[in-house]
Amino acid sequence: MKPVKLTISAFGPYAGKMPTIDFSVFEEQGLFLISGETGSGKTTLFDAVCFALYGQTSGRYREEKYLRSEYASPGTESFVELVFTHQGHTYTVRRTPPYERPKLRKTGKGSDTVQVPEKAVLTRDDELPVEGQKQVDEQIASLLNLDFNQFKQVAMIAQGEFWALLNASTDDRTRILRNIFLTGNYKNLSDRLAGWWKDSRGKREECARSILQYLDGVKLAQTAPEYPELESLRSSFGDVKSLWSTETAETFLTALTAGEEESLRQKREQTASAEKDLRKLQEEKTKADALSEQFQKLRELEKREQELQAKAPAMQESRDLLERQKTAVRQIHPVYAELAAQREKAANSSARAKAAQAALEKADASLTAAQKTRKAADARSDEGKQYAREAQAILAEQEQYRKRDEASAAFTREQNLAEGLQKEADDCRQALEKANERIRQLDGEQKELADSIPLALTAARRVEILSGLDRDAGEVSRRVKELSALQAAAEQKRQEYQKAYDQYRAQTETRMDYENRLGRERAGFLARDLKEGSPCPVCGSVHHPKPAEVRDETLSEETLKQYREREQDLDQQQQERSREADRANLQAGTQKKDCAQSLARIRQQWYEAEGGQEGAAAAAESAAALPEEPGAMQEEAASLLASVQALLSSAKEEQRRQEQRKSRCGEAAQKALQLRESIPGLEAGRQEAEEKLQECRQRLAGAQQVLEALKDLRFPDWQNAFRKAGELQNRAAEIEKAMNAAKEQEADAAGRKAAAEASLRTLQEAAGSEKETLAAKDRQFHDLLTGLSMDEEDFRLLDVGEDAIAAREQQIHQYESDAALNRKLLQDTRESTKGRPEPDPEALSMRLKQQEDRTHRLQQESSETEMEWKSNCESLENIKRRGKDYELLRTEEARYGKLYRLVSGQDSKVSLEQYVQAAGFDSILDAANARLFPMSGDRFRLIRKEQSSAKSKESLDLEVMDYYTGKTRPVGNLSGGESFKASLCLALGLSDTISRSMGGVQMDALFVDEGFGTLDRSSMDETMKILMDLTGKGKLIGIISHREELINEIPQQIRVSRTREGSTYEIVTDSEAYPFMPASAGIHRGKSAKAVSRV
Amino acid sequence: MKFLHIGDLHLGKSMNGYSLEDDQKAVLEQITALAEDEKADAVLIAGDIYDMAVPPEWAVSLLDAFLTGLSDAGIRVLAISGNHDSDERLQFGSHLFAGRGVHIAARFEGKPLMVTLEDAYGPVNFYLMPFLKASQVRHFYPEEEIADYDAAVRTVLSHAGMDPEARNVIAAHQFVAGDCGDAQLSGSEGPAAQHVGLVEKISVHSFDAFDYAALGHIHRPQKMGRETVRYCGSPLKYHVDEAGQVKSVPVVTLREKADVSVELHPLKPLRDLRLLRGPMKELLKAENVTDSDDFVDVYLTDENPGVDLMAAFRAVYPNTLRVRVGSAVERAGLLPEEEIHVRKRSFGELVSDFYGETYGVPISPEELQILRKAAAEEGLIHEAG
Repeated sequence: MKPVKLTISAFGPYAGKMPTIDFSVFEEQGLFLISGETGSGKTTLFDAVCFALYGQTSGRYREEKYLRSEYASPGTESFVELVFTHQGHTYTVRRTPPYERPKLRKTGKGSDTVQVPEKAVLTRDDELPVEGQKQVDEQIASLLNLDFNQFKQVAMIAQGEFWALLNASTDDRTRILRNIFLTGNYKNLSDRLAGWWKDSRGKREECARSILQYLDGVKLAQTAPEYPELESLRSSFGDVKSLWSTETAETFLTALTAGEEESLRQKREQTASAEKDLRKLQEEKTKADALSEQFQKLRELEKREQELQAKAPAMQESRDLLERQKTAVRQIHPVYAELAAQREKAANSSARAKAAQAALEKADASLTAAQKTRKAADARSDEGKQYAREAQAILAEQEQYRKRDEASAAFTREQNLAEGLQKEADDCRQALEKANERIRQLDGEQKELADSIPLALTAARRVEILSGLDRDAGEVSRRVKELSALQAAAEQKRQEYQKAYDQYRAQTETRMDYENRLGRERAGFLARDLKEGSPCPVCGSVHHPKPAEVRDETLSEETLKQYREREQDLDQQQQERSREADRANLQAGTQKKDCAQSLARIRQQWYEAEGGQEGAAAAAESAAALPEEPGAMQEEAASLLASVQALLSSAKEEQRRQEQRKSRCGEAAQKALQLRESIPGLEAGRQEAEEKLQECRQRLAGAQQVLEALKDLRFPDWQNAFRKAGELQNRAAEIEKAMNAAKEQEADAAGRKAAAEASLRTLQEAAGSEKETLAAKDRQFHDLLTGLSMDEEDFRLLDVGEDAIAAREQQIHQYESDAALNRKLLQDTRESTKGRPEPDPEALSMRLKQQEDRTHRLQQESSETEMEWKSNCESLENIKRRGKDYELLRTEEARYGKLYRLVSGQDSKVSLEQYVQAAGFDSILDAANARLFPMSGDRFRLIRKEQSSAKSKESLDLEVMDYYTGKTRPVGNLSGGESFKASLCLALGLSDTISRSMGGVQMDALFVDEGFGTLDRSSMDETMKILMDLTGKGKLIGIISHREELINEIPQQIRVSRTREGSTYEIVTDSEAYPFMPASAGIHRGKSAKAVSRV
Repeated sequence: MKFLHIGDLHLGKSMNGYSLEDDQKAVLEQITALAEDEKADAVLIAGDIYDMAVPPEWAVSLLDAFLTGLSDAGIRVLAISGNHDSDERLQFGSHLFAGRGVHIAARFEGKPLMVTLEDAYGPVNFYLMPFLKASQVRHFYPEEEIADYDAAVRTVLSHAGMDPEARNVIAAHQFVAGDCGDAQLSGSEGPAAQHVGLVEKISVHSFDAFDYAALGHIHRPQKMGRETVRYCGSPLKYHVDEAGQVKSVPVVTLREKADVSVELHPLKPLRDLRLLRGPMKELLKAENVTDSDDFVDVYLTDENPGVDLMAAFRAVYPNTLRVRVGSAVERAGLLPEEEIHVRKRSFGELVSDFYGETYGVPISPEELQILRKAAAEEGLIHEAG
């Protein structure tokens, strides 16, 4: 497995989708470094690889639900995508950790977050991807042949975890190695053997139980002499757990079955002879039974013969009757039937003739009625013709009606039109008048308002002037107000000055006074230093009869100096104050003059504005009367301001008024113009209307003429006329129809009458002939009766029908045959019983039964004995068979037991698993030492501790051989740097071993997380050599460290840094011999002095 | 014009835990004395002045004293940084130092630092080019095509504005490959140098225009192609592999253009580095012990040397670097692959061995069959094994 590309997004401290890390960039040197501050996210890059492959992370301290970056924005998806090659194929695995993100649409109910489930997708080359966490996990596990823990041992030496293998206890190491060497199966092996052992013991016991069962199943009567022996055997075999042999049982059973066999044979003989006797007796009995039967039968037959004889005379009578019946039915009956039929025919015929007679009468009546109707219809013929003529006349007038209708319509139309046109013309005239009137009005208005324009202008100018004045007045007012403040300030300053000056003067006096005093005392001071004989500084005398005395010791130059200084300060102050007071004064004065002037000016202007020139003169007069006092000035200012404002507002008002007038004037002019323009239009309209009216009137006259001409027509319009014509025509047609119908009916009735007459004649003839035939048949019948000397009554009795005759014949026949049969049988039976005696069945039966019972009993005994014997034989066989099995099972059980003890370590001190592990561990150590020895300067070797104490099992504890001392020491005694080296070598040894023992495991990548911190310089160099050697073999090695030497010496790096919005990284490589690297990989040339390319 | 060419001082280095302060101090004093004796005009230091980016305090003091000593003696110092130095830190004070005749070019600023010294024949231009990588050069010359270190160096030199008629000397700290092969390493250059790839190599012909090229980086004194392109080598033996070398200082004399002569002056270290090989008793015998202060690397040929070897040697040679047990070293020579191959036993063999060791008798075929069956069911056996 060699990683090719890694893309992470919103994972760990990386907030967004980070640019892809392309490991093939590091291909050249194979070794790259991940550097950065603590906690910036270095280990996260390894975690990402772990996570992509296994869904778990490398260190102990990172749980899955915290994998999503806290810095990520809600829309960014968390995922890790790793592209790696393995055994010639390229794989892409993409995994998303489970996390919560806020809902895109907040519904307000329930939580605001939705759980994004864990997702995984694995794609091989260009094939279809495998989706689903479980499937991807399985695929990767089978692909890499390493589970997560093994992967961590082999490829990812995580921070703080490489100590684990080095410092583990034997048990822990057993577990770790179990995973690596799959020796867990050895443990299972021991369990399996235990199971087999238990099974085989169970089988053996089961076999014993079945043997015991067979023994229990031996059939033997309790009274038999062998029974006690059997009992004792059973009890000794009762304990299935102990081991025993089946010999005794077999012997016993063999003897038993032999005895049983003998007794069986005897029994069989007895049974056979009893059976023979029984058969003989049975034969005898059969014969006797048959003879008895025959005798019985003879007696029956004789009885029957007598019965039949009794019946004979009755039968003869019956025969006679039969003859006579035959005659009646066969000979006389047909004739009788014919006669009856004929009677019926004659009756029908006469009835029909009567009916025909009635029909004829009816037909005659209807003919008479039809003739009457025809006559009536003919009478109306003339009327009908008249109607037809009238109708024609009306139809001829059609054209004229049409003309009249047209003219009438035209007349009405033209009338309406004329009215409308008239109205239109009138309207136009009125509108014209109104327009002219209005124009005159507007013209007048305009004239009135003509003067508004100049007036408006004047007013505007005035307003302007007054506005300016207003502003000035306001200004002045304000300044006047200020003036009083200024004056007050000036006054204050003056007072301050006064105070300061007084202070100064006081101080001066004090000083002068003090000076005087001091001066006075000076002499005293001087006098103090006088010595007799030395000259006095003042006068030079050497004698000092009366030196001055110091009266006040407290005086001093110092104090004077202070007073002087203070005086000077005060002087300065008062001068300053004086200056200030002057300034303030000046300011106030200036302001006052200013205000007075302004006031005067404004007043002047106001006068002018108010009253023109006269106003100005008045202003000049009152110029002298300007107030000086601030209070009065203020009043003046205020009143001026008010006046100005009043004037201003009135001027504004005037302006407004003039403006309004001006606009009204303009409106009027415009309206007048519009109206003038519309007049010609109106005029034209009026003229048109009048012309059209003229034409209309003409047309009207024309129509009226036509109407005049045609006013004589009978009907108001054509429709009525047409309707009337129709009526007349209909009536004519009706009359014609009636006439035709009546004629037809008459003809019809005549025909019917003739037909009826004809049929009557025919029927009457038929009736007559039938009567004749009837008489003849009657004569025939009576003749026959006489010939057979029978009268009619007899005949009737004898006329029973063919069925009755057949039945009687049958009866007679039956009797005759019964009699014949019985005679024959009787004869035969007599023959067979001649001369023989009748046997006695009872005695014979009894004897037979006895013999049967005896035989039966013997048979039973025999078969019982046989059964017992057979069963015991079987038991014997079974026990023999099972005895053999038992032996085998016993051997097998012993074997399993031994093997189990061997494998589980009960016989040996070591279990097989540990033995194997030790062997494997030795090979790991060899591989580790191959590196550790040179790396430690030929000093250290890892060896497995072999304890010689009998109790402990072979251990997997590690020791270190130190060639410097020639002794071994525990692994925990190594220093930090040495420990790291040992652990690294052990891990590399482990990785080598795994690669070799499981060929399908190809780890072409190794990641080492920290641990370099504890190494000194030369150890570091050694370690680097080892790692670089590995890269020479095609491995990709990534290390995480913050050691500066590594940062400086390893050219290929990923520099991780922390920012406020999560972490970022840049890929740095100095050997940039890849001119075709795409811009997206982000290697920009030359950003800053230290060869950084920002990714 | 006469100058000394030194380099790869690695001040501050410790070897196997021993501090080399005294040794480095002694050798620097030697070099100073040599420079004074030879009346050299300048001393060129060709990089790797310190051993690490942040050197220990005594190393800084040492360099301070050295530079001051030379400057006081009126000898100019022209120094560049190497891959072990921190450019920024070494550059400290360089502008101030220049006033005292100490010129340090540690941080690359686009062009090599040029210092011109005068002699009787005219000016000599010294170009000081600190250790640089391709990426640094690209920063200054973005329009140039710079694919590797060779191209980088060429670019820098082509923009240096050299006058080919004048006498030019360059000091550089790179890995140079000559026509006849690469420079020979000697174990102490560090893993980066030992795994140098094509990209980091400079062709020796980059320096054709210079009268003398003072190179640093490789610790074995050697010339590259011509006499006047040299690695001066480290002044002390810094690795066991250098035990056989003779450390020296080239003293270069320039007269007219193209008249350059080089003389090698050997250096004597305070404590030498030696290999000892032989049986323990022999090596520790009193009459065989000489220069007991030297750094020694011991290789014992005894089968079983016994215990407390290091302690025993330290008692005699207090500066023992390491003690190797010959028999162990030879055993370690066996490749792990073979050993593991030999050791890998099949399941049947494993079990049989185990059985034999436990009971003392060989396993019976029936028992082996049972175990095989069980193992197959547990998946321990896949093929016949």
